Amino acid sequence: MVRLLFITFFLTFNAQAQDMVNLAIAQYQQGKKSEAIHILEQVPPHSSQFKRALEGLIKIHYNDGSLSQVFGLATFYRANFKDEEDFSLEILSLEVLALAQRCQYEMAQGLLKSVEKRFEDNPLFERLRERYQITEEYGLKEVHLSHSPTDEKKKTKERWRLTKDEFHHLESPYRLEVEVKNKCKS
Amino acid sequence: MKKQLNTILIALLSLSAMAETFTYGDLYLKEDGKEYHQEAYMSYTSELNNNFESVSGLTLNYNYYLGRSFQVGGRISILDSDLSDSSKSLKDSNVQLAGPQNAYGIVLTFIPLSGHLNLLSMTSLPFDLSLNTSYGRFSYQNPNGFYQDTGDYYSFGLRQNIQIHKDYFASLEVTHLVRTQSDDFDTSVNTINFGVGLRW
Repeated sequence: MVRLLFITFFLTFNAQAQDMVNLAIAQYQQGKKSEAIHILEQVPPHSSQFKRALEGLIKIHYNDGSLSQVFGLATFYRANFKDEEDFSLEILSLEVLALAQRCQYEMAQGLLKSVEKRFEDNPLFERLRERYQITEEYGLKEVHLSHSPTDEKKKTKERWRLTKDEFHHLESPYRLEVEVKNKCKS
Repeated sequence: MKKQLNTILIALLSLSAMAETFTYGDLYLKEDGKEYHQEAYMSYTSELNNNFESVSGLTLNYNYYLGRSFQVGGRISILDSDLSDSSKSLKDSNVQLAGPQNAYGIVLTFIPLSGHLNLLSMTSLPFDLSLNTSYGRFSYQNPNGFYQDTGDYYSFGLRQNIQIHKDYFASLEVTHLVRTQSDDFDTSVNTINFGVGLRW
C-alpha cells in the first residue's frame, strides 16, 4: 500500500514537472519570456524533467542575449549531464557560440577539448568543431541570430563569488552566472 | 550489498566527473537582492562616557539613498537623562541639572563597504559598513522644567547593518558626539546605538 502511494506520488510529481516544462514552452512560444523562465526555474533539481528545464532555460537565455546565465547554466549542465546518453550537443553548441560571441576563442577551444574524448565518435560533434573553426578563422558571430548580440545591462543585483568547490556542491543552478569578458569590444 | 556498492560507485564517478568539468570565467551566485532607495530604523541610544548624567533613549532615523554608496537623511532622538553625580558641578549650576531631552539633525552617510557574511552552505547575510556625520540641535531641561536651553551638536559615526530577513536589517552604530551645552561648555561623549530597520 505504501509502495503504491509512493509510486503514485512519484508519477504525479513527475507528471507535474513535465506539465511545467510544456507550459513554459507554450508560454515562450506566445512571447511570454519572463513567465516561461519563472516556470522553468520552479522545476526542482531532483525532478526527471530538470535536464529538460535546463535545456529550455539555456535556449531562452541565449535567444535573449543573457550570456552570463547561458554560461552558468551550460557549465552546470555539462557538469551534471555530460556522461548521459541524451546529453544535448545543441546546448554545447550554444555554449561554444556564446563564447565566440565574446571573442573568447581560447575558452571555446578549451571547452571543446575538454569534451572531445566523450564525443569523439559523434559526427555531430565533429560538425560542431568544423563550424567553430570557421567562426574563429573569420571572426564571425553566429549567423542565425535574429538580432545582433548586445551587452547585458549592468547588473545591479548583489552577487556572491563562488569557488570551484562551492560550484561542485551546488544543487540548483538557477542563480548561477558566469562572468566572461567581452573581448570583441577591445 | 552489491546495489549499495554500485550506488556509491556511481556517486563517486559523478563527483569525479564534476571535479573534471572545464570551467571558465568567474562564477557567481546571483542574489535576489533589490536595489533600495530609502530606509528607516529605530535604535536604542545610550551615551557611554557621560560623567554628569546617564543618558539614553530612542532615535528614529530616516535615510534616502543617493546611488548605492551615499545617503542623506535625518534623525530625531527622544532622550531620558538621570543625573548621575550632582557633586560634579559645572560653571552654571542650572546647566548642571539640565539633561539633554531631545535632539534632531541631518545625517550624511557614506557606505564604503558592502558584502555578504557567509553562513554555512549557501546562506549569506548582506551587510554594509558606513561612516556618517550628523549636525543638529539638542534641547536641555532640568528636572523641574525651569531651565531650558538648546544647543548645536555634531557627531561622527560608524554603523554596521546586517540584513536579517528580506527588507529588514539590524543596525549597530557607535558615534562620537560633541554638543554645546552652554556658551562655554562642550560635552564630548561616545554613544552606542542598536536597533532594527526597514529598507524599500
